[in-house]
Amino acid sequence: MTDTLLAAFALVFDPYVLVVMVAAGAFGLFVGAMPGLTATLATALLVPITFFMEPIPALAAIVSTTAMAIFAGDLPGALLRIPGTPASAAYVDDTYKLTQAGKANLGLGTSLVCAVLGGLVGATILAFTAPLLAEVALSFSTFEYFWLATFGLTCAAFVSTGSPVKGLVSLLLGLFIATIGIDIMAGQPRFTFGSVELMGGVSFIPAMIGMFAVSEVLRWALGTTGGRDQMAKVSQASGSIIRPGLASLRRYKLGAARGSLTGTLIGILPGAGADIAAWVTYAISKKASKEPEKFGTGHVEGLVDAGTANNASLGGAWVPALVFGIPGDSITAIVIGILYMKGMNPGPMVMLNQPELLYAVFLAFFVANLLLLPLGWVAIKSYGQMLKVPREVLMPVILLLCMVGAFAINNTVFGVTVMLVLGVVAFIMEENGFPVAPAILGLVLGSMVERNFMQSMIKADGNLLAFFERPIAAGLGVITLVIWLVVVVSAVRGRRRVPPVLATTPNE
Amino acid sequence: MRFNDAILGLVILLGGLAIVLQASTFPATHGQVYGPDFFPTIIGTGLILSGLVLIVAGWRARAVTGWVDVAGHRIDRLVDAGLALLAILAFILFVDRLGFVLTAGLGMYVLLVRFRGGHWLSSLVIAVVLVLVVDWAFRTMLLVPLPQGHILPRLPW
Repeated sequence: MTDTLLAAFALVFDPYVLVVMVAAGAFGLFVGAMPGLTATLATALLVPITFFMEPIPALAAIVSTTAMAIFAGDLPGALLRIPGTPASAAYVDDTYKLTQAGKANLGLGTSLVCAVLGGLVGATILAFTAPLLAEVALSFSTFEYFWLATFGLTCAAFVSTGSPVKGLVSLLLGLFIATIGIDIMAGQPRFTFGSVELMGGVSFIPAMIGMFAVSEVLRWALGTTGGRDQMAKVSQASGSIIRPGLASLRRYKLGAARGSLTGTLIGILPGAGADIAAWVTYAISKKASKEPEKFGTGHVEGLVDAGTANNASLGGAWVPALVFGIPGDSITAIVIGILYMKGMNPGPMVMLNQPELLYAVFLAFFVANLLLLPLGWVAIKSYGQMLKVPREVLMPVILLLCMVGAFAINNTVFGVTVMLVLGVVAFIMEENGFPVAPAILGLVLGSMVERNFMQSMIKADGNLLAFFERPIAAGLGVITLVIWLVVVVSAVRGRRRVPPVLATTPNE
Repeated sequence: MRFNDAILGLVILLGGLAIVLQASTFPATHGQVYGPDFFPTIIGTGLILSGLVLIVAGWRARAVTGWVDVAGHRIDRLVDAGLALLAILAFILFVDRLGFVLTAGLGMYVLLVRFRGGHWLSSLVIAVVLVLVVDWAFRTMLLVPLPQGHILPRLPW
């Protein structure tokens, strides 16, 4: 145990890794602070670069980038009323009204201190639960993995905001894309239409670059999301930042505790990430508050809850990713892709064979969140300069990096084609209220569901009841089926009152 | 660009149907109940059902939402987005022949001039510097074999 920890320390406190983390942190702050550019997009853009790194600096870079990007999303929210990432949307009214009242330092200070606290709590929970869960996971067979993956997909489709039918369509689309290529069990080519390149399947890194980055460039070009027309004057945060932040933390201790715990739990849930964590905890905070009427008017209480929650969820999302290979959100979906490319199949075996690797990831989380304090402070102070980077130049640069990144995964132009097609598909989906995250999870988990199903059925000789014969499998199976039942029943009941399709919601 | 849910539902339904039909041509695996067609058939069926739900919902809401809503998109913005897509398409089609520097450089130049509304000369400088930096970073530092093409000589790095 101590040997492992020492080895992990040596891995993370390597000057190269630390420099990578600071650089990745600065990159994350910049991307997160640009309205419309999300933490997932930052991760997707990092992939081609991490591809050429050792596993530890690669993972540390992603941990650092995302922690910074989720906080940085609060900057344009507070100063321009445009949330930088969807995770900051829940409390944008509060932080912006604080800025209007001349208290930008209070709003941003609170959000910075809360982000650090939430990140540290999320990392702690990750460090303690992942090894425990991994022990349990060692006894898992294909039956349990089938249900785990199915449970993850179910959450992805229905936990996300918006209409459940559209979530389901998005999920099915992702699952369909995952079936393209040579079938792993029988060697049958499926949906390849004679194309040799499709035989190998659709690699999901180019797919994700398309779905998150290309669609974003298109949205910006069309002026649909914030930024293109509304670069008004930027307010600056003056005065001390950390002190008022600590003061609001002290005042709403309970909210911070609640936010970080709920946030981590939502992060652990497959398919639900930082944005849902922020929305849910903001709502909980409002319900529990003594002065709910002040929410949305420049009140820091909800900001404490949701600001801790969105950063805490990042650590939580790594729990199922590292233990079971099931992504907790779209960022860890990319992480799993990177792990596979590096020949490390995420799952409980990593815990047995390379425990120092996991502890290094946990340590990277602590380091990243501690780095967030000074780097975040610098970002708040220099936000005016950051916004001077012209978007008309930035967007072509992103597009160029996307093309090179999609090319670099397999060194073929085919990756760029995948990126283009799925970028357009994702753009149309989001314009029409279909969430994109379920498609990503479907794409990542599709082959896992199918493989575990087929292997189970070979073992059980085609007897479906075998899926309920082992206790954990039966438990997971019942939970999954109950979620489906509840969604279908409430959809049938709800239809009479409101047509659910009219609901348009913010999503990634 | 927003479509009525009925239109999207129809597309989804037809897509699901095509998947189911295509899957039905997959040969069964000998001695096993579930073959390679099993999952695609479930996925296709799910898409057909979801498509039906969307068609019904969209039909009911047609009075409120209309069929297609392109309002809010100005023509010049559509051109911007179209050019971004064209730049990617040109990269796919020509990069092997023209090489990375030329294809990406031209694409970037067109986009920069268009997005920045002119600035022909400074855009040219930005595009050239940008592409050379990316070429150096990815080809030399990260060892990505970016296509060389047959026109420009090999760059010295």
